[in-house]
Amino acid sequence: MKTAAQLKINETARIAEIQEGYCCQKLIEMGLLPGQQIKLSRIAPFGEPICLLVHGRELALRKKEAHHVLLQ
Amino acid sequence: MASTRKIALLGNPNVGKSSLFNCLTNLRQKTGNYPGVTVDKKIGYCTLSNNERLELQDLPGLYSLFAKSIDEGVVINTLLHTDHHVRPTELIVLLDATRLRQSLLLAYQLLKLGLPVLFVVNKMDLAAQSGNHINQEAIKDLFHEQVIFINARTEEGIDALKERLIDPIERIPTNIEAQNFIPNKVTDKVQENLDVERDNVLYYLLQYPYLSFLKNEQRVYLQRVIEEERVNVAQIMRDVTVQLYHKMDELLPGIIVQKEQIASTNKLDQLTTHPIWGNLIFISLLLLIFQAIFAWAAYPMDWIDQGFARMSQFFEQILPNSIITDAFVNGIIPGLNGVLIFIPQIAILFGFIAILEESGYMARVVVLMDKLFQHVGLSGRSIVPLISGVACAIPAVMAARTIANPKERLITILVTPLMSCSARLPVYTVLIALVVPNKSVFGLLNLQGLVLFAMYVIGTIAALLASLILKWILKQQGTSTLVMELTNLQIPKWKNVGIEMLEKVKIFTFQAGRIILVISVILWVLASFGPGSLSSDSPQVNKPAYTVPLEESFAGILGKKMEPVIAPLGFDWKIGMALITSFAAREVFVGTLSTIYKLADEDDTQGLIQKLANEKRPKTGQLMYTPALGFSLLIFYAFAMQCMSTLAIVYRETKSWKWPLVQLIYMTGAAYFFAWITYVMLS
Repeated sequence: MKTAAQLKINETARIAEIQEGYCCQKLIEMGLLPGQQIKLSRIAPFGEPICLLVHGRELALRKKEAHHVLLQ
Repeated sequence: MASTRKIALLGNPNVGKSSLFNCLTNLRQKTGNYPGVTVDKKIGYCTLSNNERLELQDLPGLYSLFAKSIDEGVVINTLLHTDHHVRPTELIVLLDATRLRQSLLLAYQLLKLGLPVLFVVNKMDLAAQSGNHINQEAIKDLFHEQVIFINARTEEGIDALKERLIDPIERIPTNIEAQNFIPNKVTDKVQENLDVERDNVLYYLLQYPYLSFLKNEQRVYLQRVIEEERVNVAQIMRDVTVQLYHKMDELLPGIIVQKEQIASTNKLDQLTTHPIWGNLIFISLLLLIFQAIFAWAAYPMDWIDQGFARMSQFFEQILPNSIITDAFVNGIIPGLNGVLIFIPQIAILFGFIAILEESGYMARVVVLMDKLFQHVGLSGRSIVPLISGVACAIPAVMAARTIANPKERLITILVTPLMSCSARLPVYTVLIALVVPNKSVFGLLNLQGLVLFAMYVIGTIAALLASLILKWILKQQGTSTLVMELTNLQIPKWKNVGIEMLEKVKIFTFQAGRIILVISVILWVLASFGPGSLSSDSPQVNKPAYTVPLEESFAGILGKKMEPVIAPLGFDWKIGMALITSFAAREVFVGTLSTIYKLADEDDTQGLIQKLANEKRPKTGQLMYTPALGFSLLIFYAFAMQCMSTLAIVYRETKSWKWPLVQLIYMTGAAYFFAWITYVMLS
């Protein structure tokens, strides 16, 4: 399944679910929930962290964390 | 007599909490300790219009009461604490009008806990600017009128807030229908043994590791309940959080009409994390900060040094010739000088850091540096302490407190002193002048300059390598996650920057300063007195009774006794003595050698270099300061932990003597080892 780690710049997508793991609590608390629309806004120089726009806010995630954000 | 009301201030990071705290308390703040945790405890005092004085506690910013680290755990521990000296009587929660959805998570959790909360909504002006219309009536409905709207930057609404605080804050009946996801049976079981309210059971079960006030038997009981009833702690935390968000998403359209769901990032902002421009901007900023710490601080530092020198002379003249005078003039006054001299650099560095944080730029820096630094066990935020360490390790170590992850913070603190600080410069200069010929390389570069540059490179590589090694050795404390919000760039609030500078200077001066002062006096004792102090020989001319010349002092004798130990490195007892005294500050090395070689003027560097160049080894008659010895000493100084002020500040920042000791051992051990190898290889 496609994850947020595979998004390209300015690509939008909708979250299908947050995969269980060490960071899922943090991701959910920060507003990344199933059904939420997201857009990739930045990719840092070495490929990570990536930045996602969600609900009017910008969040920076490492690739490992972005892998937990499963997309529709 | 009613005890002072204790009000705790909560809110998300970046919501303007420190602005609000500063507005209410101004300079009546103090910093203390939470036991067992390195995050600072901030307390302040606020006087209302009826002359009532409130105690305000600024709790660490967090997004949810479900703590994921012991630093975050401080909040839930404080809120549920059974000791009324610790537990606040009332709460103020600061919400961000531009991030209402996120802010409400914490608000809902607090409502459900049934604690007396006053809601304060900040940044109303910014919300309006971005085209989002906020329905204040709906918010007042939600919070039963217990809400104040403010703008912490302009201090609008602060007076209304203070007026509101005259009446005690009451518990609000919670109107959020939300299930706890814990079966009634389990809740009953918990309530059997612990005297807690039903709504709090959730937190006792899910967060008991952070509740320091629990008795051991209670802790064991909770653990047993979790195991027996197969309570899936992680799953419940997720479910509760998701559910609260669903409730919020139902209510939100009634509260706020959002203009655009998914905006785009500002073009200028995009530059800050651009591979080329982002790094260029950042490097320029670093150079500016570095220049500021090095050059701008030099003026007030010289002024402080001169002031104290004059003070010394003054007291020496007017006070009678005695030990106490000597202790005062040569022990305490230089000790005080040694503490106050750091203030300009600390003030400047934290001024810059406060600006970077307040403006929101720091988050962009983290995005730039995170991947690189994660490889060596550091955080993206470690770059500021490391670079500052090239000027001086003391403010640099303090700067590490911006790093959230405890392990990354600790590693940063432990390796920063390896960066070649400015105190090493006088030592490097003398040694390089002594053993490196003043030639040109490739007709362009000066050889001496190149060697100096190489010393800085060695320091940097050492810091990164040490970091890598520590990453493997130290136990990981919980997994490190980034998931960080990039708030909009904004102009910093200067009052906050000023207060931040002042608070950091206070922390250093009073908490690290007293340690530095004590060690200064001890070193003075070691360098002034010796076994010969009590003999009946006539005292030295113009010196107080009981003092002895440097070579006969305890420090001197220690230096001589040390000689066999440091001989493999090519050092002699004179160097040994200078190593001991320069523990006060690295640059003292040069001054001590000047004294030993009986130079009239301590600052006569050229004179010293000449004396050293002519020095011969007593046993062989050969010249002593060969390149082998020169480089051996250089390498020793690059690695050795040779600064009591650094140890003092590391103690203060890690709240334990264990880590300064570790630092002392590993750095001085590395210094000995590499200096020895250098000497053996070059001789």
